[in-house]
Amino acid sequence: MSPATPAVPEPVAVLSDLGKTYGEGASAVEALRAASLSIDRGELVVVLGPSGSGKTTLLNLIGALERPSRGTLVVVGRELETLDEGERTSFRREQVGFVFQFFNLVPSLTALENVALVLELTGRDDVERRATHALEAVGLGDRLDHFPAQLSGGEQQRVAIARAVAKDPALVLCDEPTGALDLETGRLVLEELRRLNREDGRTVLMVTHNSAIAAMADRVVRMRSGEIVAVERNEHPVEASQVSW
Amino acid sequence: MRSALTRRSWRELTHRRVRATLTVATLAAAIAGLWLFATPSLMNSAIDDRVATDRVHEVLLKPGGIRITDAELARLRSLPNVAGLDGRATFWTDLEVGDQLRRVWVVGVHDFADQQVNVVSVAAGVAPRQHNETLEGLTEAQNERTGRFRGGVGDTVEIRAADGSWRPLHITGRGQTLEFGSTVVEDNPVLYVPSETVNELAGYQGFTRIEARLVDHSPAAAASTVDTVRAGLGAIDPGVVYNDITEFRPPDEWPGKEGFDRFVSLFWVIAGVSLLSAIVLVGTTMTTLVRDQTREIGIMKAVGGRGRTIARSFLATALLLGGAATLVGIAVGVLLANLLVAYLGGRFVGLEPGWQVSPLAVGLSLAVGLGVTALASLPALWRAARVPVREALETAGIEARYGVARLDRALARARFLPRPAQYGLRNAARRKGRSLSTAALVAFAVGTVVAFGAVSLTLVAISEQTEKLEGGDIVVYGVTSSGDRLPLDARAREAMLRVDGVAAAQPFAQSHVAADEIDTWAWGLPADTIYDYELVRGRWFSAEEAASKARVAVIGRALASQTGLDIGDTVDVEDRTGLVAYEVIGVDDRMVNDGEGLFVPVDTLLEVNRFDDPSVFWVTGASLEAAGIEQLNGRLSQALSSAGYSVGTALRHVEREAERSEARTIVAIIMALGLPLVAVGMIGLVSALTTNVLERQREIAILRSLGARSRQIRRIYRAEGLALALLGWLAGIGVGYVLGRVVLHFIGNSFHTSFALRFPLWPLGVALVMTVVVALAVLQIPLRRACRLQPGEALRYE
Repeated sequence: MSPATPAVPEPVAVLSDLGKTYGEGASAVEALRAASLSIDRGELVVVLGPSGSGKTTLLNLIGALERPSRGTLVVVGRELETLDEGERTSFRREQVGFVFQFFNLVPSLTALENVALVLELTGRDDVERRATHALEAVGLGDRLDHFPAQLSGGEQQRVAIARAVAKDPALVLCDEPTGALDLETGRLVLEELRRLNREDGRTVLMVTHNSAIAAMADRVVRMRSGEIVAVERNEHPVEASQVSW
Repeated sequence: MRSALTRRSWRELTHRRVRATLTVATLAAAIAGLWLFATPSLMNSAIDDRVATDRVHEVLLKPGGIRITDAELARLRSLPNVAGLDGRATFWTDLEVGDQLRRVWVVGVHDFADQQVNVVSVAAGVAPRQHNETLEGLTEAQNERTGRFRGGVGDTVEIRAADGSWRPLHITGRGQTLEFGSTVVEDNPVLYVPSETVNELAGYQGFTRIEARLVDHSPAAAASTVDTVRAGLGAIDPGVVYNDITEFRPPDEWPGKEGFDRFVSLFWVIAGVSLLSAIVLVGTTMTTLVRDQTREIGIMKAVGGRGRTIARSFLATALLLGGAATLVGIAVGVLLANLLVAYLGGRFVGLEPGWQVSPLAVGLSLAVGLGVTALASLPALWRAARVPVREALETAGIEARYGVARLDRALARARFLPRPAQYGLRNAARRKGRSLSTAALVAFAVGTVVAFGAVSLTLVAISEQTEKLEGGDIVVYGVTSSGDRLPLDARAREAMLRVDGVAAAQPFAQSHVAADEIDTWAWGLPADTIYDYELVRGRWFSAEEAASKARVAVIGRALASQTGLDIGDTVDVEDRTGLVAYEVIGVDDRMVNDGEGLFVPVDTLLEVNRFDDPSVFWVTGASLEAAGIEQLNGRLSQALSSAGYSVGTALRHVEREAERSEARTIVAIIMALGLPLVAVGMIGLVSALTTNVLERQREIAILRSLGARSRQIRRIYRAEGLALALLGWLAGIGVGYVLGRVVLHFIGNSFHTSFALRFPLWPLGVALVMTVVVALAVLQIPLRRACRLQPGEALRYE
């Protein structure tokens, strides 16, 4: 199986001197400082760092969940800091897919409906077929009509992955996707993300504090105290099944 | 330093300000509603002051006109057990108001500067004087308040003297006293003038009322004093006759109390419903509050917190909320109760009470605000404390057990609905407990609106029915120059029938009586009366019975239920001439004299009263229009005057309008009493719907992170809110029906009868529209706020 990374790197996200401060005055917290980074199409990038290092803030900024306080941020050719709220919503709808630590599925919707929801939001046609296909792709073809409460943690996270990719986003953003899962289930989720990256050529940005996961990344971004302290290319990424913690 | 748990309790209020504010508002509204309990006691307390100030009579004798000199009056005042005594001249006549005539009661005051009983105090302007040119008088303060006569200080009105001449009367001020002010509410406007003015207008000398206050109020002492006063009056005028039974006022009675008492039972019902709603509201609010913090309880248990310690912390939060709500509730309640007392006091007795606080209501407020709040939290705390730690920790707002229950699966199949409606419905089903309590609050608000709407419609219908009770368009009554009744014989009747436009003229007689000790009126009517009776059982008297002056009576339903009298029984009726026994032959359903009326053949009543001829006729006109009736009235008066009869007339359409206005006021009062309940329900509804959205910001943030537009999110949550509102509305119909019947049952009881509730569909439609509009309006603000929040920020929100 060969990586689907294009021969000529094409940046999907470019961050320049990006900063984010929460609060004001004495209570202000600088969560992200002068972060500069470029993520290429088809890459699997792992952002590694301890709690409070600014990883989630970085992810939220790239996903247009929050506005930066400083710097510039271009994702899929869009300067996010210049977009108004409607354009940011539209950006999230079209360009990014999120996978959260605690799944964040809509509990009153079935697995199929949770995936269908994003397709409906993006105005796609043939919603049910696409949603079914996305769930089958993550091995949940037999769980379509199950509500989140009827699924295991690993299954819920795979529904979240299906939901994230069903709309065919340019970028899949994962915030501690294995954080709430045991090793075995976590590996299944990582395998799924790896498959998306390798087979479908999707760009995946994964935030984690688990250094073992870094072994499967194309590149590893290390963060500490709101700063990017190192960006390392992994010449020999391992398969997800080999990751262990 | 305060413990961390104490700080947690406090921070619970400051950290979640919107929720805390809404909770306090909901509890405070419930507590404020309890102050309806205070209204009767505040009213009584205000009345007691007024009774003392006005020196309301305890005994009232009604002689047919007796001349008493100042020296004789002084002697009567010095009789044993007499604390105060006054003579009063009164005169019923007509007042010209614009192009209409109004019946007016002119009350003479012997000496405005020296009054001992039923003191008429001058509230504005100056006391009237007696002089020859222009007459002077005071308008009773209640005249304007009730809208019966709006003439103000400085106006000059035309008043008819007994000789038929019109005399100008200058209003020099506004006067008030409980006894006559309460008459205005029930009947006609009152003017206060010097006694000599009454004598001049009515053409008789002396007094027609002897009012007295007693030192010893006991029945025996009162009866003995009446005998002494009668003997004193007999000594002054050996030929004195009495036109009415002697009236004794027990110490706890006051003029106008009967009307107010009808509302007291209603107050208790509404206050009871309010108490119930307060308990339910406090219960649901606290249950929701605790349920929403199950995760926090889980965390505290996970770190080793003992159930008791955790419960204490949450109880502290509950008590802080309850305490704040109690303070606010008492403040609003004091305002509410005092406004109601001021309105009702003004409405019934012309009272202008000062501000008062009821210890009972304060105690009740504290008990509900603190006690019930604490108690209501316990079941929820008990449940939350028993939830396994892991399960509690997973209750992070977004995690749920949705999909397991049958209802969840059933809703999943409702794919025919638009997507937002599907999501909204499922969201409502996902938080079943919460949804049910929200729907219960809506049901309560809707039920109250529907119930009070239905009760009001029923009462309006009853009052419309009552308007038809008395026949005729014009009441013609013969009155002598001394103000006494003037018989209108067969010749008078023929004169009436000859007047162009008169369709019928039927005699009737009326007598103030005590039927089985119940104070009421006896009506003498022909066998073929135009009175539209409706018998619930028995029969109306026959022409033979009427001709033979049989002692038979049809009694009102309320009189029957109070006395237990039924067909074949004998009712003892005391009137001015003594005690008469009638056989009960029928029970009438109409509400004449509030269902306490008594109907006997007209000739029987005349005979009992020792009259040869009736003095009152109902005249029906060929034209039904007010203008036609007014013209007919003019022709009728002129014809009878030409025939040598001195008559007064009253126009029934004017009376009917006054009765309609009375009915409107009663409906307004009932609606006003229902308003606090509706407000409680509405605040609960606003609180529930707002909190429902505010606490789901994380959920909304997820939808936002998926790219959902604000519009789409609003549609989902609106659908959920509407589903709850509609569920509440449906339940509210049932609540409204039951509540309406309960309220009407108590109103019926106060009239010693029962009414059938009218439950038309249109108030349900109005309630539906109101519910939908309120729900949509309420959801606007929290939804806008939730949608404006940056998703990243909201996802961090707990």
